[in-house]
Amino acid sequence: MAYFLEMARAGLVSILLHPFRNLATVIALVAVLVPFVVGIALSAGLQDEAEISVRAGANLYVTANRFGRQVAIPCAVAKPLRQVEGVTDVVPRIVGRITLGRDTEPVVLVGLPLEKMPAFIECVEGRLCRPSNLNELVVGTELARRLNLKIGSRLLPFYRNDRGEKLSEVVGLFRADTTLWQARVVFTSLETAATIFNQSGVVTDILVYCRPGYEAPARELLRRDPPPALDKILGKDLRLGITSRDEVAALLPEGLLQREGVFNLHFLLAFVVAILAIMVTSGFGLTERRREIGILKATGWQTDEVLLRSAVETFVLGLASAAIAVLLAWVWLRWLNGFWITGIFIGGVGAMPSFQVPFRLAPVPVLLGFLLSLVIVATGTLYSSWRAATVPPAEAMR
Amino acid sequence: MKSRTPLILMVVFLTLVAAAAAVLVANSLSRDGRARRAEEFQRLVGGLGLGPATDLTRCAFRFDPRLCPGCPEDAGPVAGGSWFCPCQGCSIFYLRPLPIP
Repeated sequence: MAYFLEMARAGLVSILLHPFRNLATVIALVAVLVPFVVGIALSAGLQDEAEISVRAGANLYVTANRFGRQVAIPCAVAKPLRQVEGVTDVVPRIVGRITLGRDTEPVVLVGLPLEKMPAFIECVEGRLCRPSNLNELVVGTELARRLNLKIGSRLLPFYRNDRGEKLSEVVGLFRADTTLWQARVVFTSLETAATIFNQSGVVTDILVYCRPGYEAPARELLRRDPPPALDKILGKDLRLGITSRDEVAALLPEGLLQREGVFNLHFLLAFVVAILAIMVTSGFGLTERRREIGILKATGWQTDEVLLRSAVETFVLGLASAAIAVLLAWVWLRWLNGFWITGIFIGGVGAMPSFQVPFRLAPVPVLLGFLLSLVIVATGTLYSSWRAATVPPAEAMR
Repeated sequence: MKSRTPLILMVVFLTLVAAAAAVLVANSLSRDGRARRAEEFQRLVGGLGLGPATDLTRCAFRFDPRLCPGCPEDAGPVAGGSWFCPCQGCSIFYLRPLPIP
């Protein structure tokens, strides 16, 4: 034990012999590791939120298709859907794109029936929409910041409708720590959304909720043998599109695998470049290292002891770099809220996100980062140490 | 007398490792409140958002495949356009298109 402690001490002393070189090595490693850890953490956070989105969503999403593209579906479709066995609730929904403000900020407008809105909700500051003479809106954080909207703010008519336009009032704001997809949402009643889009009798999709165990049979029934009343409403032009929760959930693990593959491949390239840089900074062919090892050999050190000393140096530099990378990644995502880097990985986000960025620092990518940094440092230190330790001391000291 | 510098270096090193481990543990424990609010939001809107985008402007598919089952760029002028879709560039979250009836 004392022998190993002495070796560990010798390894630490060897780090202190070349402080600037080792500092440069750690900085180079951290520069490569931090974006890797941040990217993986963001991706894991997004995956968690996507799983919640699937779990808390409807069992079936019923849409209409024409020419292979989704089009509006008549609201009347809801009635025959309610009669399908196992269906507990059918909710028409409007989700569409509008722009608001001088800078034409993109908005995801979501409309749901007023009777489906709960009386109290934690994720909204203020309240949800109620029947009113004004268009009542609940606004996402990014929009609220860009358009300088607060609870009580009023908006002049920003749409055209055949039956006239009304003022809109912000009655609630989504909380920043809810989810990233609220950022550009304007949530309102189905009636208001239909008015804004100047539509009546149609919605973008119909949410179908089923009793446990009835999702797959209901989906199959609607796909293969839809009720005649449904066919009558859709006519010959429209085709029914049904997406089930299971189908959407199946996309997520595939996404994870692809992410790990593509993202790790990109970073492997970065690491390859880093190896070359770090081989230079960490002592590949360094004259001092040769001389130092020559002196150690001349004073009685064995080759395995020299290599163990270098291994300790490698381990400490690699683990310290990985630990610093984790701490910096956490500071970047938690305190700086993913400043700048979130905009690279997630579309529609500026340099400073207005929502709390989702992230999860998982141990496996961190371990992977540590192993990679260990390999990179070992490439620079162990090989040159072995070369120097296997030649006669006189030649190494020359 | 032996120098104390290696000992100081060891303490700094162990502190760094302990801090990194604490961050990993704390991060896994502090997500309950956010998850509860996210679930509440998703129940309210009936499930909205799945991919690495916050709006529908360029690619609704990357926002949520339930709203648009495939990347619109695939029907654009460039063959296999989804691979050039800016929403996918640098993406850390790939989604396969859903079948279209």
